[in-house]
This record gives sequence, C-alpha cells and structure tokens, in this order.
Amino acid sequence: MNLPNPVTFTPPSITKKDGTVKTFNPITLNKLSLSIMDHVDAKIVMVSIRPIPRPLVLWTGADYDAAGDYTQAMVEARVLELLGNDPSATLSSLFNR
Amino acid sequence: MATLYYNAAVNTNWSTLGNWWTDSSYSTQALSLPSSSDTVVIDGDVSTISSGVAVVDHVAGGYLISPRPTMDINLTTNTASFNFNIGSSGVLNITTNSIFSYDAAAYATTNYGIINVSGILGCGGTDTFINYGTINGDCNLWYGNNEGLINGNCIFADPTTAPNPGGGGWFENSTGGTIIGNCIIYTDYSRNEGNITGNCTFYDNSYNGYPGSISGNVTFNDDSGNGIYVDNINGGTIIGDVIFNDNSSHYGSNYSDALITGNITYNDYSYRANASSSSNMVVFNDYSSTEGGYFNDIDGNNAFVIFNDGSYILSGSVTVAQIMNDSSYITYGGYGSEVSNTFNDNSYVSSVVGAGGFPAIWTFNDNSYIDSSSTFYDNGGDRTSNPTMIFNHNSHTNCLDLDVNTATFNDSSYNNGNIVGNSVTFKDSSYNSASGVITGDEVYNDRTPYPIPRGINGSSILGII
Repeated sequence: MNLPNPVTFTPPSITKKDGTVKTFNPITLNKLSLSIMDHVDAKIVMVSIRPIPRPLVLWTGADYDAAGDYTQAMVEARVLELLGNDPSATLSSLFNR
Repeated sequence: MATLYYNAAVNTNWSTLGNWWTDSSYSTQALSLPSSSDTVVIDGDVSTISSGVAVVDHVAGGYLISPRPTMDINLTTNTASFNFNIGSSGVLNITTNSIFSYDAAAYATTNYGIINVSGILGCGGTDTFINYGTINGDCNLWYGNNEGLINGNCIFADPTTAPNPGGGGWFENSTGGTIIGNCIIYTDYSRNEGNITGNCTFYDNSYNGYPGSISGNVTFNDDSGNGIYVDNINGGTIIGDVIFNDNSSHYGSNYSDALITGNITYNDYSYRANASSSSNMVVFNDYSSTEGGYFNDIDGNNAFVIFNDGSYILSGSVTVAQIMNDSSYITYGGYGSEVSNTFNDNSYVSSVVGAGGFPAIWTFNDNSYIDSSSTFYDNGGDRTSNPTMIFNHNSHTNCLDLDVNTATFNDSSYNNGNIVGNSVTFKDSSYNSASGVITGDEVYNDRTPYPIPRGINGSSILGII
C-alpha cells in the first residue's frame, strides 16, 4: 500500500553477546509491503510489514468480529489509523523486543 | 602521423585505397593505406583485410564481418568510442581500455564474433551493447545484455565509472549468457539470469533471478537479492556461500527456485521468503527473518539453522536442527523444526498459533519461554507424535494450549500455562505455578511441589511419584 508521505526511521541498535553494538542505517519507506495473517480461532488479524520484525495487530476479540469479512481497503485504512500522526515512532516501536 | 577515414566507398575491403580519405567529409582521397602510427576512423563495413593487420584508433560505425577479418585496436585513451558491430567471424583485438556504444547510434552495437581485450572493455556507454559472441578480458558493462560468453571479471553498471552518469545504466547477463569470472553488480535493473562461475557482489536493487546460476560466493547488499520479494521475482541457484546484508532478500516460490546450497548468513534486516536451501549452516543475525520455504540438509550431516540477536521465524517449518539465541523468536505462523528446537538466552515463542506439528524435541534453556498468546498442535492419536518438551534453568511456558508427548521441567523452570500430554515431570526446584493447568499424568521427582500441587486437570490431586 502506498503511504501519503515517506516514512523514515532507524532500527534500534543491537548489543551482541560479545558486547559490541551494531547500529543500522535509517530506512525510508514510500509504501508498505503487507502480509496479512488471520488467526480465526484466536480472533486476531495482524499484518507483517517488511522489514519490521513485529506484526501490527489490526483487530482482536470484539473488533475482530466487527471487522467481519474485511476488505483490503479496510486493512489499509486500519493500518494508517494505527500509524497515527507519527508513523515513524509507531514503526520504530515494532522493532522493540 | 595522420588521421584517415574509412567509409567502404568502393567495397568492404580494408586494403582498397579507394575506401580511404583524409577528411571526415570524404572529399580528399588518401594517398596510402593507414600505417600503425595513424589514427583511423571507420564508418563502414569491413569484410576483408587483405594486406596486413589494421591498427585502429577510432571506430564511428560499420560492421566487421566475414570472412574472418581481424582488427587490432590500439588506443591511447579510454575515451575513444566504438559504434561498430562485430560479425560472427570477426575478431577484434583491443590492446588498451576502450568503450563500445559510447555515442548514440541508430542501432545497438553487437558482437557476434570474438573480442580479445588486454585492457578493460567498456560496453554500452550511452547506447545498448549486446554480446552474442565471445569476449576474452575484463569488462565494465554499463548498458545492455550478455547472451554469449565473457571470459573475464565484470562490473555491471558501475555508477562511479559510467560515461553517462544518471543515464539509467543497467546490464543483464541473460539466460544463455555465461561469465567466467567474478562480478560486481550495481543499479536497480541489473541482474543475472544466466551463469556466472565466480564470486559476485550485488548492490542497489540488482538481483540473481531464476534461472540464473552462480557457482561462487555471493554477497547481497542494499535492496538486492537472490530474487526480489517486493517485486515477486524468484531467485536463481547459488552454489557457494552467501551473505545477505541490509534489506536484501532471498525470495522464491517454495520449490526448486531460489536454491542456495552453500552456507548462508542473513544480517541486518535481510529476509528470506518461500526460498529453499540445502546448506550445512544457515545463520540469521540482527533483525533478519524467514517465512515459508524449505531448509534442507545437503548431506545429512547434522545441518543447523541458528537464529541470533533479534532474528525471527515469521512462518514455516525447518527440516534441520534449529537453535534460537539472544532474544530471537518464533512468531506468527512458525511451526518450529521437524528435528529439534533449542532456545537459549531469552529466546522465545510468541503469538504463534499451531506450532509443533512434528514429534520433535524442544529444549528451553536460560530464560527462554513460550508466551501466553501461543498454541501448539495436537497431532492426535496417543500423543506420541506431539513434541517432547524440556525446560531447563529459568525457562518457562505461559502457553495457552501446549500439546506435548512429554514435558520435563528441570532446575528452576516452571509451567504457568496449559499443558496437555502423556506425562509432565517436575525435577529439581521446577514447579507448576498456581495458574498452571496440566491435563495428563503429572509427576514430581526429587522435591515437594511448589507452590500449590496441581493435579490432573488442575485438581489438587498430587502427581505420581
């Protein structure tokens, strides 16, 4: 899905077992590559956004039921809603362990 | 030393004096054939060189054609240009650096013959160059295709040396093309779909695409890949060891494509999706990940997949032993290894629905754990096809539904979730917590249960000692 504005964020650094710290270059996304996962029994819909490690949870529980047979447009609208006014911060938080 | 101009006015024989002029408008006839000290501009076909070997310093256009003329190019700089096609019987010997297709031409410059290079041959300066024949020597390939054979090291679309920077250069080693040498590959549209025998380094959005094959070691940087996930381009085959850095990808359609048989290291936030490997060792570091595809053992000799740092499994299973270290994790649709799963150093299973669809051994060490949003498969029958779980040190499970054959808790490990199995054994100072529920035989060895003895289905019946 295309983003209204490019989003730039920097993955948090990683401290290796030997104590060395690995830092990463900023990532700029002009669009989001989404993979949707729907856990029917658990009533949860998540999307994976490359290259971000943690999925973004779209709907769970009652919201899952309310979403029903959701469309791609609904997914994209929900993603934009969750990204909020600070998409960079939201996407960065999905790197947290 | 003079400059002479050839235009094939009489015939296509290099040695016919009537074809030669002293000016570029072809108005003054030359008095003699060019010598090796002259500068020569060719703008016509050459089919015959009946006297001596020509030495040329500039080729403006034409075709070197049969019967097998040989032309020697002796340039003093690498800015001289060639818009000149080499026929299937032509042989061009180049003794210094030179560039093909430097000037825009009405047609692509092609080589059907043999080009022998002792310097560096630049191909596709500002117009397309296509090699159908053989090039013996190193090449800067800025723009075009190789569908023949190159015996030499190659750089694809190097933006730092291209004669037309910003001109959108790219080069493709096409299906049927072979490069016997090492390659460095730049820019978004450059790719290998043929065969490369040496080592390769990819940058930008370049890729090795199916059915391309690389025999040497390969490093992918930037957004390059063995296949490109976001563009749905399947990868080719790589025999050597491979390193993925940055946001590079390893992408296929699950079966024979995107196959890597050497050892693989994924760094940074590189990723693997629906790809295959038959490797002795696959290592994921940093934020790298895998989803789908196949991990196979190339020789049945204890192959491993190791996850370090925060790397993770997004989906799919692993058909070789799997080791999770340093807060790495399985999430989403990851099933785990069909052989063995070892979790160390705060690694974990999180938000997985239906893991453990194989009778494999799962060992949790250190502070590793299964979180409360995860469930495991019950493979049915007498549960002996379910996983065997071993919890050591401070590891634990909060799993919503953990179907096992047997589970053994050692050291200070504990159960805080729901376990269904043939037997669950607690040793040392391990324990079933107040909220832990066990369905099946519950066995306590070596110690008194703590804090509250939990029995079958969470009853207060003590287990069998």
